[in-house]
Amino acid sequence: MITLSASILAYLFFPGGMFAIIFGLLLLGMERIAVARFQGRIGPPIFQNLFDVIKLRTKEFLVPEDATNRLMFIIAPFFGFGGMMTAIFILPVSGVYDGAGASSDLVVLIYLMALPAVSHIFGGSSSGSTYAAIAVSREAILMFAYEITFVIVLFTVALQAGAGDGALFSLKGIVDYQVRNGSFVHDLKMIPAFVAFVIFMLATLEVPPFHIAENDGDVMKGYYMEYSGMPLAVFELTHALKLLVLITVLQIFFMPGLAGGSIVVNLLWYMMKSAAIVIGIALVHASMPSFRVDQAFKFLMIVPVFLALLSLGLVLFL
Amino acid sequence: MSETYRVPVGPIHIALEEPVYFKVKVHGESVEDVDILSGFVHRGMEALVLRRNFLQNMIITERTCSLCSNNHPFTYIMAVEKIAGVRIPPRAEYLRVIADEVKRAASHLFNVSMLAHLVGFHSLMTQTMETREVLQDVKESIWGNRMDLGANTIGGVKYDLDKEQIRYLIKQLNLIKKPIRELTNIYSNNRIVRARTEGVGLLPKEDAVRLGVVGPTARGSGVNNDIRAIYPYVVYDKLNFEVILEDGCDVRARALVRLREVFQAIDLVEQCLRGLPDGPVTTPGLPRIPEGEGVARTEAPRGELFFYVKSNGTDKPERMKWRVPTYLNWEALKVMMPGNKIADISVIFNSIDPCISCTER
Repeated sequence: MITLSASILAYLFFPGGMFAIIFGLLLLGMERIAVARFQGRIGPPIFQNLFDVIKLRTKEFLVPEDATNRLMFIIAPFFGFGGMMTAIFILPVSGVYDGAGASSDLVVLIYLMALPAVSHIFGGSSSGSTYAAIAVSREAILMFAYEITFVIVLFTVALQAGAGDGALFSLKGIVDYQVRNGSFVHDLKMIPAFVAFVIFMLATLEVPPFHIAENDGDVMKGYYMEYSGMPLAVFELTHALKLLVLITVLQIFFMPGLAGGSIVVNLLWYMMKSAAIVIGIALVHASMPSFRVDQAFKFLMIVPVFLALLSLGLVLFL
Repeated sequence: MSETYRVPVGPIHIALEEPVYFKVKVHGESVEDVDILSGFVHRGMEALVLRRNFLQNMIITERTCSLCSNNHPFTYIMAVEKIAGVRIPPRAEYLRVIADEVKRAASHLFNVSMLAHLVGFHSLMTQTMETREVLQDVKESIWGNRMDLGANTIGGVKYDLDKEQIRYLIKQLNLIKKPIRELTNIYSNNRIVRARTEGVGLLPKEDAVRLGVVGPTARGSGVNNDIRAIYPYVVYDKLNFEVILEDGCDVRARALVRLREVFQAIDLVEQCLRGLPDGPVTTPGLPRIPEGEGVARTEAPRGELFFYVKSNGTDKPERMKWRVPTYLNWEALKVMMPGNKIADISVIFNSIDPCISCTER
């Protein structure tokens, strides 16, 4: 009974739920400010995304008349949101939270990570908008390309954490292994996988150079085109959670080092690392133009896949 | 997705920033055909000018468009001066070139910054805009306005440069040379910018000639039609400059022509300042415009601008007609667009430096 209520608390309040949403929105705000500063602008207030969500809550939700599937259009945003809420629940934060504790949660993660894109594809394709249709086809193409990288990196990490003893599919196990034996980011064998994972992150977050599926320049808002009100806010929350999930996964895979024994210190350390990663993302965001979808597909199929395979080979044969 | 469908781009598409409507026929991600619809912001200016006198028309032609706002009154005034047989003082001729070239540099920088925006390189866009801001400051300090300079008047110019202003102008122009050199380097060498612009929106030389394309759009395809060089007006025949040509025929070539023309404009302003003769800046009094017809053409930032003015001896023109560069250039879009991707539509459209407010006066 106690473990069940602890799980509910973890899912709804900390480190999932409320904490994750607010922290994710703050990270998004920080990313926007950092990009603005890199570009010589002032940028929005750090709470801007939170304000957006609060404002959207009061707005009317409209379903377009020519939506091909009204029900799907309404429920689509919640796939991604639910997926990300679950992901943040099962992810351990080193020294703070042990995760949901399942022994093969790494495999679950593969499925959960795909859900935001799935909800974009469902929502966009049922909205009946031409722009959304184009965005959906692009998202599907890109997803096909970047998920390969993710899966390879994931297996590389699992194998490395297994330490010659088969693959270790427990996130907690991966964190513990690195806390004992040093973070993978210090391991030369894992550096290519790290770079590949960062590229994967940029592609899933649709940050330049992969700002393609919802590129303002041609498809305007893409799959969000027909959304308004609460479902749009849910998309925004999903995006914030996705950012946080990716950053947390990056930390679990490559840099779960502890700062001390206390939970508070480790939590602050986790938040600081997250902020630093966000600034790094913002730096890439500000210094790159976007690919076209065909160029991005080619790039994603070659560079990150090669880097990830290189790491996998090194881990397997060295 | 393999079937053919239509994508509406415009008239209120966020990428275009201009009220024009493209019906794009798309096959998968590739553009097959494009149909251009326009006329959303027609203001009836050619009728309006017939109800105002020659001096008032100087103001209204300046309001045709903001980016080439100096060229419209400039060309109109040249046509009127031809009818009236006015010879403007030499100092005024130089001052006209200075105002025109400063506007040209600012306009070109604006266009390339939009290119950066459309390929998703927002930092490059803000940097280019920041560089352009120096020129905006120059315009505001010398002419009193950021966009509409109001530099020209019938019989001369409305402003004069004193020593301090010349020193300020030279200082500011020197200030932007280094940033523009760096920006040119990024526009021409950044790998993703190259990937997005090279080979995109091809306009072969023979098509450019056939369609009568003008301005940097044509010069990017290697067609020399710079009115400043072919039919020199004011003092362009006394200035030393070479027409800038690129033979890439694509969006990149057109952007490079514009960037190189920014340097050229700065150089021309400096030449004018060195050779600036003394004397009055305008002819005394206002001339009476006799009956007659006049034609003038200049090189606006977007290409050749053509004005026809017919007067019947009264203080109002009997007929005025102006042909703007975008009108000639947008026909070329039908050659440039097919075969490219949807993501390139706005990049290609931007590469002709469209000005819908000029075209739909």
